[in-house]
Amino acid sequence: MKVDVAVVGGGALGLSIAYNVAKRGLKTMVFEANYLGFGSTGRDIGLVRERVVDDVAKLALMGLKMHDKLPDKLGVNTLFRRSGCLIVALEEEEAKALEEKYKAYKRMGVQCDPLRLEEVKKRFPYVNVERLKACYYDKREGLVHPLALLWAYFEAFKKVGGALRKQAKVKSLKVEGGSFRVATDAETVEARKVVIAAGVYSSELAKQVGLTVPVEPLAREALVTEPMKPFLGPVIERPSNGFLLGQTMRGEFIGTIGSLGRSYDLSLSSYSFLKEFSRQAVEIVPALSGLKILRQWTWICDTTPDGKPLIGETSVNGLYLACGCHDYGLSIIPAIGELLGRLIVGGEVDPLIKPFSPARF
Amino acid sequence: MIRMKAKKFICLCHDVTEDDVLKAIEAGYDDLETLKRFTGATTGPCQGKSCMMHLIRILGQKGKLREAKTVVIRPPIDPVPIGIFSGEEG
Repeated sequence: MKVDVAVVGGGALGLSIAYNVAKRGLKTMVFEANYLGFGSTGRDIGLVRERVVDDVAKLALMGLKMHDKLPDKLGVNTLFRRSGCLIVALEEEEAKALEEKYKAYKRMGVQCDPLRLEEVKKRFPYVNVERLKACYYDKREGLVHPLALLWAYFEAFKKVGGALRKQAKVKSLKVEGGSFRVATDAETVEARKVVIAAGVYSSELAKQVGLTVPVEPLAREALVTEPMKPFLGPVIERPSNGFLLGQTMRGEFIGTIGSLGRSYDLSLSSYSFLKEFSRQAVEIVPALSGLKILRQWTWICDTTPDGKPLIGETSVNGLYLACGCHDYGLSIIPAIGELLGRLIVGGEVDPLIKPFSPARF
Repeated sequence: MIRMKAKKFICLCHDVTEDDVLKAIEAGYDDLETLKRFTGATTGPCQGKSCMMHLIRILGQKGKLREAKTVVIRPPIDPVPIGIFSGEEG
């Protein structure tokens, strides 16, 4: 079998790229080692940020705007809403650190402003302002259902003629006579171009064609509660301990706190995470005390040494990378799909993705 | 006598019917973990205790069952209030 483009990785990122390539008329096939969304897509809690490192912010801003239109464009509701995000400090030191950080964000064009505590109390009465020392409010950020986003791209991808191979781990990747041989247990496919969008598993595949990809796993934990009538407007974040709490459009609360460090182990589920998260959640939103936790899981982010993703063509002709999206992948996925799609089909490197070229390592 | 076509609910937490599952399978969401995520069955307060066997049965009837296993079970076994973990409620 011959295709124009083979995309390795059936997450929201892989399918976003695959859709953008296939809709421009190229024969495209996606290879997913497990099931769709097995990796970080299905484990992310869904925050769509604009508060990210330097150059990524521009991409995130483009991503946010695209998220608004995706449900209409792709024909599937991604359950995206511009929830906004409240960023809180509970200690004086944290408040000082936030002030510095948010001055820097402001310079980057991020619209995130301090909110007086009386104002917080008035607008978000469920927040326990007694415990807060400072609060910032970013009204542009949003919350998306990561799997709904994935289904949206998958449906659109199918409509433009794309093919998917599930439970199809790419066992070998070789360059032969100017094209690639992509082999799974079931078949070997010849591809003119290959995109590796396999998150934290990208480096082991790239190694087969002699590339070193500096992507490292960072394991975090997340949980979801039973659904209730939506009342929590913005996502609440405490940067000092990685606490995040949001309510989805389906009414469930999703959250995370802390990190487990470097690990590939997807079966981690710690009791200390539940305790830490719960204490933090009721300290900030006391009304959550009676809400029941349904499920906890591990979420593995793919990180890079400089905090920026790897997007673009590699030193191997025709081989592209899209990984290293840390915990802000959902913010930039729509933009990467569009811009990398253009690069793969037309050879045009957009200035927005130029800083993320894999050649920098 | 005209009879309305009855709905067969296989998931009462998220109101998923047998028909929803069949349509999902036809659309390509045809393995257990994907069906779970696409339909929402097994992700509600019962965490699969009343619906998972139906998903497995329907997949089997459609000849799509690759192996005999359930979705990955995550803690807690039953829903637990946040206040229990935070120490607010005993």
